[in-house]
Amino acid sequence: MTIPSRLTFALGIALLLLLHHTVRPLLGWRIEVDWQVIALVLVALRSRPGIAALVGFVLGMVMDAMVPAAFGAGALVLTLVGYAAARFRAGFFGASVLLGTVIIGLGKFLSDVAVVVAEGRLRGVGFAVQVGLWSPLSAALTAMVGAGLLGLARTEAPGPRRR
Amino acid sequence: MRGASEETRTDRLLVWACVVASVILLMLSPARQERAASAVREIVIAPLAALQVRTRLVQRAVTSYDSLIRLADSTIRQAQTLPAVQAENAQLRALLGLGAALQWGFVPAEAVPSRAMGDAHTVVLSAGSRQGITTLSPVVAASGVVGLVAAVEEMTSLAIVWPHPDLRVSATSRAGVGFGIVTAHPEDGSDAFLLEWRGVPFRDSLAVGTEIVSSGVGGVFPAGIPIGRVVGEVDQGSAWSRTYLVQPAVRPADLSAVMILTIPRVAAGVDSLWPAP
Repeated sequence: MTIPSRLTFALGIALLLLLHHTVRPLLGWRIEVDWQVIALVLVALRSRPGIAALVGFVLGMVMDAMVPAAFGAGALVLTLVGYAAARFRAGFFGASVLLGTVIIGLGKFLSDVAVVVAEGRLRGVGFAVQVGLWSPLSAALTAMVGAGLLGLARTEAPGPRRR
Repeated sequence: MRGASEETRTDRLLVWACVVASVILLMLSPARQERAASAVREIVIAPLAALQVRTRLVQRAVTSYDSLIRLADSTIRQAQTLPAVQAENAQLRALLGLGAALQWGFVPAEAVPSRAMGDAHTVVLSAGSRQGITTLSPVVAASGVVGLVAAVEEMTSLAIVWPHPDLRVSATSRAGVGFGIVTAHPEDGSDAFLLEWRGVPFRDSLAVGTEIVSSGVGGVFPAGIPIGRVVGEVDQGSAWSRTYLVQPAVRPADLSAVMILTIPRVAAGVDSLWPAP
């Protein structure tokens, strides 16, 4: 990867994180795109598993800072999502954007569920609606947007290792 | 050269370190969790919150620009009927009036909703310890109680607002009949934004439409700030007390500007600043 393409990639990730903290709260939609999870999987595409996990941990902590009651839950899930994305990449990502999309959707859904469960604020019907409706829809929307960005990034990303 | 995704011992160590750190954070006491979250907010979220305030200013500038174009295309009257602009103008005018009435002991702030899962129940305020804000400072708007500052950073603070389950305000009716605690109504659906006024003595029967204000008991909220209006009674089968459903005077999700009362102002009171309608 050349220095200009590294810079472009870093700027792209910074832009995604900026979108997450500026545009998303302004829109205030119940079904929202989680730019942070997309950024994490994009980083995981090009990083070692340890680095991807560390990035997931840091992004999760930032997410948790807004919900102190669940502090650590998002960090744990995003650590595992980053690690899983980086691990699976060797075998699949080069050949399939689909798996990346699934990991983004699953990551978003699991981080939502982890935060809701750890926070313990929503119960009964509220919990069921959040976990059964809003979180899956947000995960699906995030995965759709992520698929597009993965398609763009794929042209730049290194393929699977050949022996 | 090793492949970027090939796992080494360093990778495994990093992953385990992150997982263990996450679990430790999860198991911390709420006070320590809040301290850690506050540190992260101060380092990462505060600059982003400042950016959000800027984004809102740009959003408003764009809205104003649209209005100007409409003025050119249509008439001034038509432009002024834009509901969003009208609502915000009314809000700011009311807030200016409140500021003039309060005269001292308040800090104006922008309120940026920080959406967590479910309904918005916290807002980031663009004023922090540098402006003299402390935890438990009441957050108010021209129409009444908005919430309470829960955490303070140097330039920003985090407030819990209706319908946060931890927000409780000691209340009485405008006429001083009945004392109880107003808190969130734990229901879903159309009632989710209503509040409950609990523990009102059974002898104090109140009519629908009765205005509820803060009673000043507890010393966090000064007496006389509107909370909402009674919309009905909840049958909880208690022989000693009544619980009323209250429609909040303020819907925090609609607010973009608020005032934070300082502790000396709370101690001095705000009597008669919110007169009966």
